[in-house]
Amino acid sequence: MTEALLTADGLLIGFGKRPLLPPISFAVRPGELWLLVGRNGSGKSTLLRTLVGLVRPVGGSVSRPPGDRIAFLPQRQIRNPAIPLRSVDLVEEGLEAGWSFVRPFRRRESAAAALAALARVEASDLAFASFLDLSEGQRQRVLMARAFVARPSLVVADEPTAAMDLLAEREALGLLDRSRREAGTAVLLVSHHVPSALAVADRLVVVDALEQTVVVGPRAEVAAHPLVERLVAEARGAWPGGVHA
Amino acid sequence: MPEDASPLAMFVANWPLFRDPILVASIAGGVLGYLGVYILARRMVFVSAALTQSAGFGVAVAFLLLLFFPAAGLALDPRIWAIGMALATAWLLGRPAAQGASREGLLALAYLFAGACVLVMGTRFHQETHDIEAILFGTGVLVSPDDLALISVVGGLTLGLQVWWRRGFLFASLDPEGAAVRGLPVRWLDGLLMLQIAAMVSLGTRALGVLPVFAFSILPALAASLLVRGPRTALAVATLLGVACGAGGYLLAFLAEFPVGASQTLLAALPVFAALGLRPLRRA
Repeated sequence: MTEALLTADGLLIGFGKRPLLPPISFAVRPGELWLLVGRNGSGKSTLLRTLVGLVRPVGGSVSRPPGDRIAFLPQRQIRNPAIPLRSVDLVEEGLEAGWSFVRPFRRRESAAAALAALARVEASDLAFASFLDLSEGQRQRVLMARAFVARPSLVVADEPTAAMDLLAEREALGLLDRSRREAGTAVLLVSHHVPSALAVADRLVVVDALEQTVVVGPRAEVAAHPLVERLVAEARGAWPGGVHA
Repeated sequence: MPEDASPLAMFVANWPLFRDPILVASIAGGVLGYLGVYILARRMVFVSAALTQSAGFGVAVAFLLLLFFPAAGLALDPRIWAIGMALATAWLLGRPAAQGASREGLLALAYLFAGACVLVMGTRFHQETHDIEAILFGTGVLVSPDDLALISVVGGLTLGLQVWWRRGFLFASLDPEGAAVRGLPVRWLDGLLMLQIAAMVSLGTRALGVLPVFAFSILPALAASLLVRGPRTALAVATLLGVACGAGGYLLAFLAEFPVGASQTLLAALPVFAALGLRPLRRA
């Protein structure tokens, strides 16, 4: 069995000393797409932030192979309009890791890599446009290019389609799925638009802080769990005629 | 020099008098213009205001104490008090959840308290009023060689490190969480940036006054952000505008007989108005 890119072992998440959820254990392996779902306030964002090291675990452990490349695809890039930024500048940021910024000059091929990454997400025409002038769907495309530009082994995506309409969401998830297949990258995707996300997921983590429930497993098994069925039904109620898993 | 010589000719003739103040204002304007891009990026405009006012308060306290302890020497050096007060304010504001009060509220408290204290000192000690005005509004025509040397060294080191580590500072400022996930030392970079801002603000305040230093730390960056598209160009344009406003403010003050700090601030505001006026044309 290949080495796990991210392992949660008896992980307890929360703020301070009080855990939000029961212990969670799972391992993300190369090429897998894990879907992390739950209702609003269920603890999924806290779990994600704990997994990437932004929040300290209450208990248990999170481990990653040393030197492994990880990228973060945020829900929505909160940018101050006071700072001008072109899409290509943003994508080049994704090449930085650790103390790489102390090299005085960025390699010449960095710009080429950024443009190639934009081309892969069909956003070449946005390269020199101001990021702030783009639509939500276009922004997410650029952010996806940034996430994949350094050829990471794992991309962690925090509700990347949250601000999109149904059509844009389907396109974005399709693009995410295609990008990870092409690059052989594992993805850990948080979404509350469950039906669309289920269509691309291999495995699921379902959390609910209110019911103190954590369910982990392959999509075929976990999709039938009452908690997931309820999330799918809620989503379909919100979007009549929406995408079905 | 003939009596009917033009003001510009008089300015040139008296250049040795103006050289050091203009150099100090240019260096402070340029470095603060550069740092201003990060102040705007991190929505820290009010932090800059509070630090500037606190540094002014430090200078005023040093002047006041010197009245009672004129032989205190280095212990009451206004530059040390300006840096100390600005760093103490930065440290207090950087504490997590700062005693349960909102960050904006504490920033306002620091700004208002420090500003009011400086004004109160001005009314109580009339013989020092001129100095208090110099602190607040920047009438600084006289700059000591020490001020010039200190600002040159600190400004040079600050700008050098900023240019060298630009990619790290930009990533950590624009997307701190993304940068942390990629393993960048975000907290370290944040602390270093705050230290550099506090040092430049306090040294600049001692030499030039609160008003122009606050203006240099905001307005050139604001104009640059409206004029250009890329962050690198914005940093360069903000620096050049800061230098131009620092030096040009002195010239304007001399030619029009305006106060220096007000001239520098007005000059720094002009590119912002121009950029705002040009923006609809650029978008069309």
